[in-house]
Amino acid sequence: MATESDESVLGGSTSAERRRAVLEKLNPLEMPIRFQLGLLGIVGFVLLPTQLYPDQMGRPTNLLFLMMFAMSWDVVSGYTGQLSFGHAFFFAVGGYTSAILDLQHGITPVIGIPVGMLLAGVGGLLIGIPALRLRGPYLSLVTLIIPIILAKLFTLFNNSLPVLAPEGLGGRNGPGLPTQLFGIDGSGAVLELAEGYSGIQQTALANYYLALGLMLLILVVLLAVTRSSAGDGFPALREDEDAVAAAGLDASRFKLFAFVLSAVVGGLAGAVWVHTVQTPSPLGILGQDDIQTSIDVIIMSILGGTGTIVGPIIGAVVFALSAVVVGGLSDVIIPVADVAVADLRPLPLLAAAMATLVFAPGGVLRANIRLGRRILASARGDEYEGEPIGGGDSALGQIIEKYRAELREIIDERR
Amino acid sequence: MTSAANVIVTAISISSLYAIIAIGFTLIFGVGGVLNFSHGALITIGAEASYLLSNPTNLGLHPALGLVGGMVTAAVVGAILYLGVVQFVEDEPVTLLILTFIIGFFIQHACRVFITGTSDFSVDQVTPGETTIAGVTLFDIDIFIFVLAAVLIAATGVFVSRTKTGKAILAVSMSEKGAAVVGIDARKINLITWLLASAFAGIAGVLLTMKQTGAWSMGTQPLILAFSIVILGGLGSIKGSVVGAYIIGFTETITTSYISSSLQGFTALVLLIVLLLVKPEGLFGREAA
Repeated sequence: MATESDESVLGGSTSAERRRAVLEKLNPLEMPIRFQLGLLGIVGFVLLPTQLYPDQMGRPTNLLFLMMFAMSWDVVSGYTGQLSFGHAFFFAVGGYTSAILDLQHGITPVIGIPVGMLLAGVGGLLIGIPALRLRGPYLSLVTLIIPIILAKLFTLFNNSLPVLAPEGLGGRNGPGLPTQLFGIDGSGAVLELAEGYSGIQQTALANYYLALGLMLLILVVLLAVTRSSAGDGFPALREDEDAVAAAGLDASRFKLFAFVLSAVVGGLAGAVWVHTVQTPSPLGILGQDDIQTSIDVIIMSILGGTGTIVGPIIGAVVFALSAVVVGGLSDVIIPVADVAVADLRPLPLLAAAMATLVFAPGGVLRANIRLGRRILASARGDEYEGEPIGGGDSALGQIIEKYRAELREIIDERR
Repeated sequence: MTSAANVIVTAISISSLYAIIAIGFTLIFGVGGVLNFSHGALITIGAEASYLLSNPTNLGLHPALGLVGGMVTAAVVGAILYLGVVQFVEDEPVTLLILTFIIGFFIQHACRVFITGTSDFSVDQVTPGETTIAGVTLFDIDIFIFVLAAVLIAATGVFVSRTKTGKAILAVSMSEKGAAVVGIDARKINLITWLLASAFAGIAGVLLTMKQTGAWSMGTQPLILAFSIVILGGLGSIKGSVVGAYIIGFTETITTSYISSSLQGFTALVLLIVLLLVKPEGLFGREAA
């Protein structure tokens, strides 16, 4: 079946023909506009550091990590419709594992990062298995409080956790700064670069390009998985779980797979994060009240469009740009209230997220693709038919449907 | 060392606060099917309003006026939320879930930006001082909280089961269609529920500030506890919320007093997860309301 679909997509039966077809598909000039724009975006990211000073590189690097986190959320929540309100749990497991292996067991991050990733995957299993039994609101609650419990554990085992972390998890301050992957000469980093200012420059660049490479790798892997036959089950689950079961597919295996995949991706990003630009601490990784990061990730995905993998990346860019724009308005004072616009953060962003939820539930990406198609169509002189409008057509719409059904079930059985 | 009697009194007063927060949360869910994640922000609103009204550095009114003001402000904001946003997306639980979450953050951050900043704030207690009963010294504020909460809970019970409006609330929570058939305006009932629930959250916010201190993000923790309590007791059940509140309040107070204060907010949540896995429908199923 796989070969059949290959042929139908790429056309051609001999390997030479197929190769030519693939090459044609990869020719940037022949691509649909949205892919060209995507490529342009990637080129932009590659070239971005040429426009910045080393001390300005922190934000874009952080942004790349936020993109990875948002993609990780999208795999499980956007695709399979199991809403997670505490995804930072996985980032923290990955980050803390690698940091503590390094600080307290003397294990290099090169090994610690994969271990952190694996442990996050185990975390994904631990949450994914009970998640199979829990419906909508209950799953949301469990995922919401799991990072909070994790943060409490950090405080509870502040000074020592036998065997695992002899010197403790460090409470609110975190276990300390682990070995960096890149640093200037003599800094003790895994890879020591040049001395002095050029070393700082190189470190910032190395962190950035590592994050960019990792982001692209995760993007490709997740796109490949979600567009493969294994990934076909994801949106199917979101649309109609019973139908998946009726087709003889094991719905729970798909759900679990989505959870573990998402956790592994989140854990990997979290682990690399603490060895490059983020300090491992509850505030650093989990955010304000131990839930902010998890919510930010949801906001980004919604802004960009859930259930697309690419959408969250765009959402993250919007998220970061709004912070930069609003943060730059420190001289603009709002009359009456006497507050600088810059101090309003994060209010404008939250307002934008609310507006997106209400007016464009498919996200910025889908809205723009639709807008773009309409413009192209009118340029050709055609009438753009458009896609069926309404909640049902977007991924969020389907999540809503699923959730609504589960909610109805809960309400009905209580009657 | 704290005496057992004091621990119990603290547990009762904290549980009473949790109960009125959870009742509001569960009422909104029961009637409108809405999981209102901005409920925590309404707690903050109540606290901030009372700070503006009765803190000596601001208007310096009597704390009782601050209590009433906090209640009214929260109720008004709740009504605005329902009329301005919620009623338009009522049929989309996920949108609403995330939306109320974001609105909650928005309100709390707005309080931080425009009113109190990141520092803690305090409000004078309505009933300062202590009373000694049978050799046990109690803070009057704890007694006040317990009595007020008991009155509110009892009043809610009477309101829902005896008055015409209350019965209409029950009817809508049972079946919106059925209620519509007998001529009940579901929108009006929803609005009343939001007013009531938000007023309760506002009162809880003021009392929390009087008992401890207030802060812009003070609503988040009670929100999560309220959600836990409601799930523990069974979504949509008033009785379940009260029982759940006392279970969570007591577990929390006893573990923090006798085992370690770092366990705050930990035992209750772990307990909840265990229960959720064993008995996902909660202690009490959904009853009348």
